[in-house]
Formats: sequence, C-alpha cells, structure tokens
Amino acid sequence: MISSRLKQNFKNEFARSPSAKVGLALVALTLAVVIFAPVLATRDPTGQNIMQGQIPPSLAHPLGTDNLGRDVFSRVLYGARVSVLVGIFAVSISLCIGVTLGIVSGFFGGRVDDLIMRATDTMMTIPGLIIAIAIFGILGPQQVRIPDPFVALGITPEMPAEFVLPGTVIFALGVTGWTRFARIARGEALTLREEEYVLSSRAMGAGSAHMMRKHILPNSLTPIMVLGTIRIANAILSESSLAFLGFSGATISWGLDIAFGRQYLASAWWVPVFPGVAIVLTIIGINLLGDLARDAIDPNVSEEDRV
Amino acid sequence: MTTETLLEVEDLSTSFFVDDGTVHAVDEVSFTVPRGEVFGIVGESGSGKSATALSVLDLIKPPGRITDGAVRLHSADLATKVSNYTPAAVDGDAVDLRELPQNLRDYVKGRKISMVFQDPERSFNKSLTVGEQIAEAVEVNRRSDMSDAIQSDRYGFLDYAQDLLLPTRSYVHEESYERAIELLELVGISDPELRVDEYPHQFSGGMLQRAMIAQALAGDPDLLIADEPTSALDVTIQSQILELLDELRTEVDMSVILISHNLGVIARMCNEVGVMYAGQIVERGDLEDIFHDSVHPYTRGLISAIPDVEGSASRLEPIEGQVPDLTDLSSECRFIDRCPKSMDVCREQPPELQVDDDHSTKCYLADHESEAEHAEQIDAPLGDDTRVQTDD
Amino acid sequence: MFWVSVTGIFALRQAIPGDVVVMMTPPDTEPAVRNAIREDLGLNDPVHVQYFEYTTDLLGGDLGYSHFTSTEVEALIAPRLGPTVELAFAAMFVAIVFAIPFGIISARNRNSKTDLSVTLGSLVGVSTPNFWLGLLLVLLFSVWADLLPVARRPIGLGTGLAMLFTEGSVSGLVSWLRHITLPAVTLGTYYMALLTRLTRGGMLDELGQVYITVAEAKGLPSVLREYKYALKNTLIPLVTIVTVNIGGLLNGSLIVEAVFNWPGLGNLFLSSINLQDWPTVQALLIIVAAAYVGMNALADVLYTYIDPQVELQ
Repeated sequence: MISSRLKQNFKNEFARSPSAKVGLALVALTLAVVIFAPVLATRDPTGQNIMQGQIPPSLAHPLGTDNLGRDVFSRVLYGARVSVLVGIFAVSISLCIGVTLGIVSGFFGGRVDDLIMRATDTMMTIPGLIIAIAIFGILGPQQVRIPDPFVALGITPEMPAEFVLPGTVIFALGVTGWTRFARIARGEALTLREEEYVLSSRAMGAGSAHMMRKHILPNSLTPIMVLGTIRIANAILSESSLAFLGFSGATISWGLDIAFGRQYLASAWWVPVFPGVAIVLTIIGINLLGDLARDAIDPNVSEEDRV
Repeated sequence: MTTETLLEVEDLSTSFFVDDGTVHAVDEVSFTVPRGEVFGIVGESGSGKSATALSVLDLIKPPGRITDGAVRLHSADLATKVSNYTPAAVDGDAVDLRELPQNLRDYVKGRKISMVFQDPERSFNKSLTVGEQIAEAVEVNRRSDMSDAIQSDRYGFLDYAQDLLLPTRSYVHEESYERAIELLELVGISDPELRVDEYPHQFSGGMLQRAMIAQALAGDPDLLIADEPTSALDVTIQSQILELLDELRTEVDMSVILISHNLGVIARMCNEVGVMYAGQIVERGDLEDIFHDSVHPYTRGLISAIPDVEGSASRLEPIEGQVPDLTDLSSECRFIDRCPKSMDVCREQPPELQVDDDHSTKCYLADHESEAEHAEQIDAPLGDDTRVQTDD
Repeated sequence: MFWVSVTGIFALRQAIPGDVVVMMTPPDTEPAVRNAIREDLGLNDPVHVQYFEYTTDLLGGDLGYSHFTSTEVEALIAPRLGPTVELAFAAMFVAIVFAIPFGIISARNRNSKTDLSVTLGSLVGVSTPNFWLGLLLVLLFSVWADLLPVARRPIGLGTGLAMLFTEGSVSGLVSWLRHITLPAVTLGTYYMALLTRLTRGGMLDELGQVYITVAEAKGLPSVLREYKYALKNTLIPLVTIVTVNIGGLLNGSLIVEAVFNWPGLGNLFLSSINLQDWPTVQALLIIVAAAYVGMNALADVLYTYIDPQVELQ
C-alpha cells in the first residue's frame, strides 16, 4: 500500500522543505478548529445581540461583530466545519464513483473502457459549478443536521446543539467531481493489470472483482490520495462559491458569511474579509501538503526549489 | 618536427557545490593540443571527461564553477582583438580564456572553439528546422565578422522584439541559409536544399549528428570538441561519423578533442590521449605510449580489459572495486583502493611524473620503470567493434 | 460529443420536478387552459417526440421561449453575450500579460528574493476564492481609495469604440476601462497565478535541457536562447492548457459577474435558476457546452500549427 520507501521520501522532503512544514501546520490548525470549534469559540456563533452590532475587532470580539451582533471569530471557527466536512464528504463520494469507474474501465478495457471514457470526457466538458447549480435548482437546499458532540456531552452547553451541513452541495459536488479520479484510477489499472501477481492470480482462477479489489485497488492508492487532497481544496472553494451565490443550506459557512457581509463592505469590512482569510489559509495549507506529497512520490523532479 | 600548440590547459579545476557536499569533478587537469591534431580523452562515465570539455568552453553552470587553472588558446587574431579590451589576458599569441570578461568568453564559443555533443536528438531545438539552427550558427559569425565590436553583447531584447514583430526583419539573413545548405552538403547530407527545411525529428540519428557537425563548423573554428560523438548511434553509423570527422579535420585544418569511453574509437582517431579517472588525468601520452607502454595501473587495466577477438580465449580481467566518491576525497592517490600495485608512498597523492618525452602519469610507478617491465608489456589487441588503423 | 451534452441537458430538464406549466401561470387558471398550454408546448407528447422537437429547434437556432419574462430566450441572451465575452478576454489578457514576464523573471533568478515572492504570490493567487478577492479589491480600490467604480457597466466596449471614432471622444473607452478593471483582475488572478507557475516551471525545465547548452556553445546570444528557444518551447504546451481551462473561466465569470453586477450571461444564469426559468437555463447550458467543445477543437487545431511533430487527425 504505502511502501516504506515512500514514507522515507515523505520524511526527507518534509525535513528539507520549510513550506511543507507551514502546510502541515496550517492543515493541523484547520483540523483542530474543525473538531474543537465549540471549545475554541468564545461565543455562540448564532447568538444575536443588536446592541453589539458592527463592532470592529477588539479584545472582546477578536474579529469584530456583524450587524446582528454575532461574533465573527466564533462564526469563522464554526464555518471551518462546514467547509472542511463538505470537502471531505464530497470528495469521498467523488472518489468512490470515480475510482470504481476508473478501475473497471482500465481493467476490462475494450468497449467498457470506451463507454466509460466517453462519459468521463463528456462530464469533463461542462464546468462543474454550473452543473452543481443546476442540481441545486432541482433539489433545493437540503440540510443535514448533525448533533454537536461537545454540547451533547455537556462540555459546552451554551453553544448550538446541532450544526448544519449543506446536503445538496455535498451531493452536487460529489456527483460532479469524479472525473479526475476516474482518469487516474484507469491509468493505474491499465498499468497494474499487467503485473505478475495479477496475472498469476488470474491463472489461479480468481474472479475479476476479487482481483480488482485485492490487487489493483490497494496499489493504486498513492496517486489517488494525492489527487484527493487537491480535490478537497477544490471542493472547499466550490462550496464557498456556491454558498456565496446563495446555494447552500447551511446556517454558518464561510461563503455565506462573505455573501452576507458584502453589503457591509464599507461599514464593517471585517465581516466579509475574515472568513475569506480563513479560506485562503486553509487552501494554502492543503496545496502545500499536496506539493509535499507530489514531491515525495516523484522525487525526480528536474530541479529543486527552495520554497 | 615541432608542431605548434593550439590549446594549453593547465591545472584546470572545476567543482560542483551541492547540498551533499562539493564534487571535485575536474581536478588539476593539464594537457596540450597541437595544431591540426586529435587529442583523445578516455575514461569511464563520471571520470570528469564531459565536465572538462564543458569547462574548456566555459559552459559550466551553477552550482558548478571553474575554480582554478588556465585555458590558453593560441590564436593571432583573437589575441589582437582581445588586447584591445583585456591586454592582461594576452601573452604573445596565447589568450587565457579564463581571464576574459564574459562577453569575450562568449565570443569564443562557436567561433574559435566549437563543440559536438553526444545525443543529437536532444541537441537540437525540436520546434525549429535544422536549417534554421545551422543558419543561426552561421549568422552569429557573419555578424561579428562585419564589425570589430564583440557581437554577443550587442543583441538585446529590443532587437529581438523587432526581429519578431516586423515581418521584414529576422535574425537570420538569407546568406546564412545559403551557407547552411553548403555546410549540410559538406557533411555528406544529400539533397541539402530540401533537408534544410526539415525538422530534427525528420532526420535519422546519424544524419542529425552530421548536421550537428555542420553546425559546429559554421564559424570555422580552430578547435572542435567532440563529446562522445558516436555513443548514441548505431555501430555502422559510428564508423561513418568518425570518418567524416577525420576528413573534415584535414580539410579545414582543425584540431579536435575527442572524448570517449570507447578505446576503439580513441585508437582509431587520436594522436595523443589523456586517460581520466575520478576527475584527474592519470596518464597522458601519444597513442603508442598509452596502448603499448602504459604505466598507470588504471590505464593498463583498461587496455587489458579489452577482449582479445583474435587471440585465444582467456578470462576478461575487470578492474576490481568502484570509483571513489568525489565529494569525499582524501589526500591519497584516487586509485589506491583498486590498484594492484599500490605502495605505501601512494598514500600521498602522486604528482605528475614524466615517463618519457610527451608521456607522463600521476603514478609513482613512473619512477620504477625498468627495461624489463617494458619488455613484458602485452601487445594489447585493439579489436573492438570498429576497424582499427594500424598506422598514424 | 456536443450532442451527448445536449442530450444530457435535455434529460436534466426532464428530471425537474414540479409542473412547469403550473409554475408559469397564475394560480387561478383553469385546468383546461393549462392543458392547452401543455399541448402547445408539446409537453403531453411522448419523450422521444419532445426530444426530436428539441433538437430540430436547436438546429434551426431556436432557443425557446421564456415564459417568465415573456421574451424569446434569444432576446434575453443576446445583449449579455458581449459583456461576458469582454470580461473573459480582459481577464485572460490580464493573466497572460503579467504571468509570462513574472514566470520568466522568476525562472531567470531562481531562488532569489524575486523568485520567492513570485512563487509565494502564485500560491496565494491559486488559493484565493475569486468572490472574496473581488470584494477585497472593491474594498481597497473603491471604498477606501475611491479610484475605481464598484459595479455595473454603463458603457460597453463597442459603444466606447464608436464614441472614439464618431466623436473623437475617449470618455466612453475610459469609462469602460474603469469599470472592467476590477472584475477582469478578479477573474484573471487565478489564471495569472496558474500561468506564472507553469511558465516558471516550463522555463526551468527548458533551460536545463541540452539543446540550450548546445545553442550557447554555438554562440547564440542569450536573448535568443531565452526567448526564441526556451520561452517558445515553454509556451507551446501552455496553449492547450489554457484553452482547456476555459471551463474554469466560465465558472469564475459566474461568480465575478455576481459580485460586480456585470450584465453578462453568468448573471442571467443565476437569476434564471432562481426564477426557475428553465428554458433560459437550458439554453445557457447548451451555449456553455458548445463553447467548451469549440474551445477544445480550437486547441487541437492550434496545436497542429505550433508543434511541428503533430499532424491533424
């Protein structure tokens, strides 16, 4: 699956690259925020208090408040959950669809391959966001409510009891994002199906499904995982774009907050600006990790860069 | 008969400064190339032969740097030109290329010294026609001939922009294309007027190497450096290319530095030879000296490693051991770990010692030469995969 | 390829829940009237007949009728084509004009401070959501500095040019430029960052190749080595990448038009979805598919001109 040489490469590249360390730090921070949002947040992100509206960043409210008096800092922390979880879930769906199609396509070849590749190519021609919006138009904003474990366990009782994920968005992104996975998986399957252990497995009478599952899949994981990280970054950007345009379903989301804060750009700039900063930092972190992974897998890049 | 010297390389040293350490790729290399003759550099890969060639022509790029030494080219008209700029570099008709400023060093490339590289397919720009690339080489020289000033520092971005955007202007003039066609013919390419408009991928390996030679001759150089010119080619083609080089050399009276790992090629073409190992020239002399009277155990190891095609079947004798790590060098003789004749004194890097006139080696065995050892030398057969000339 | 998309769009349309006719008629309409409308629209016909009608209409250039706005879809789309195309080209222009020099300078001075800043900048550029960037730029240049206008596009390029030629007045062009700057920069930033990275990487690759050393050995001036040799060979694969990425540009213009109230197709798409004006949505999707297919074909053709080794299939 993940060879020890690969792990060694990872360690080497990590040690020699300051940017990889920054990337890891950012991603770790993001994940910490996602998990511990209720603990880290200073106030209830949904708590309104018009008297405290539009306060610039201060000690009490590190990132200020919006016009309803909600604490921007806490909203940014909670917003991480939506973005990151949407990213993870959507990409998981895309991965499952894409990898399955890709491996089947590459493994069997012939007409099956043609058919699946045609579908993939067609799918790739239409910009994902547009289809996602169209899907949204059909399905409407479906919400997925998840009880917050910290509140349920009584650790942070003053925080919202549930957090809301935009179900339609997850579905839409998942269903439109599989094409690249299919391509990569197919490539892997094409190469791997000629390997000795696959051929001998067939000679021993193994069925196709078994071979695909036990031999091809585990050995193609590495590039798929790398693609997965990059796709999560994409998904986060897409989710926030959709939220900004009004296609969401969540109650707290970076994109939503930016959209909401847009009208206060002149009077309370901190409301739309800070959620955006959070997005940028998260994406940078993921991109840097993605670069690290790419360098670790393919160390024979022509030249080395110091960033 | 004294032959004039064309090129003197003295104590040339080049190192590469990388993360893991400093690689001393070329270590105090010295040799001379007489006018009109072929000097061969032979050694295994990693011995520093290519680095030496690149150093002579000032093509070493960071993280590499020439750290020491002199490269003296004897050229009367170069000396005249240079004394107008940097008289300090001139001594009679010899110009120390290392003392020159960048623009003068660039002037030498393609004009006084040019180079033919190993892999012709990688050596050409895939998106330009072969003719254009040769014509460019011709043009470079045409422009500098036209004026006294040094050409390369006069062509700037604005000139390029104009040449690109104005349809009436272009870097390469019509005359140069004509000359390119002539050059293609000179190197034995048929239908040169047609082939001049073709792209590199439309040429076979051998044809492309001929084209590269044509390109190298565009400036009428005094010295041609050929770095493994035949290694990437089929065996049958190798022979043709070597013959071509030989013909051209005599026709235009040019010296050649021929670099190869193939002793057969060296034996066929060269007058004098330098044997390189781990960045140093461990032995040099004329063809006889190296093939029949070699002193350095490495040279002897190379010679005896050649399979004897004609003689009786006997075991091949490889040289045991491996090349030392060039970043981690001690002060001992570099060959010490692999040398069957190493002595205590070898712990101290041997200097260059004379064996004979024009025959020297960096080995203490030079002092231990005796008539008896001379007589015992095996007449090493030179059979390889190329035909050998038995006369010089 | 195109037809597959078209069919896909048709299928999408069929999948829409809810009765279209109910939605577009006043609540108190009689069922008989509604049925008549259905007949008229061909909604009672079997699917394959509908499909046939649909495709023949398309071939004839008829994009349908939008009941909501009571106008032909074409009339809705036509005036918005110009703005979107202007924006797309302006964004690409901004991207290319900055990315290539940045990439070259960055590659030339590897690992220097300039290189590091460019690399860092590209990283940020690729990681920044464009709607937020748009707002940030508005904040900086309109709200705080009051240099550039916020939104809208009162005078188009065509009008501006016309004003120049007929009245000798540049005010139209100036207005157009002022209004298009922020949206174009917003839309173009991602591509600028991407292209910079690609140019830099490509130049570094090319400059490390043997043919460049050979060119130097023959005395070719450094300007020619850098531009005629390395840059040209770097840009060749970029052409395909750029054309293929046009899809992202369409995504982006959707968002940028929303942020800047730019009267283009993107904004139309959004409002149509919100109004559930399906004929318009459908027409727009078809246009997108057509644009995409067209771009890919263009990329193929361009490539045959640029790369001497490729032949047209």
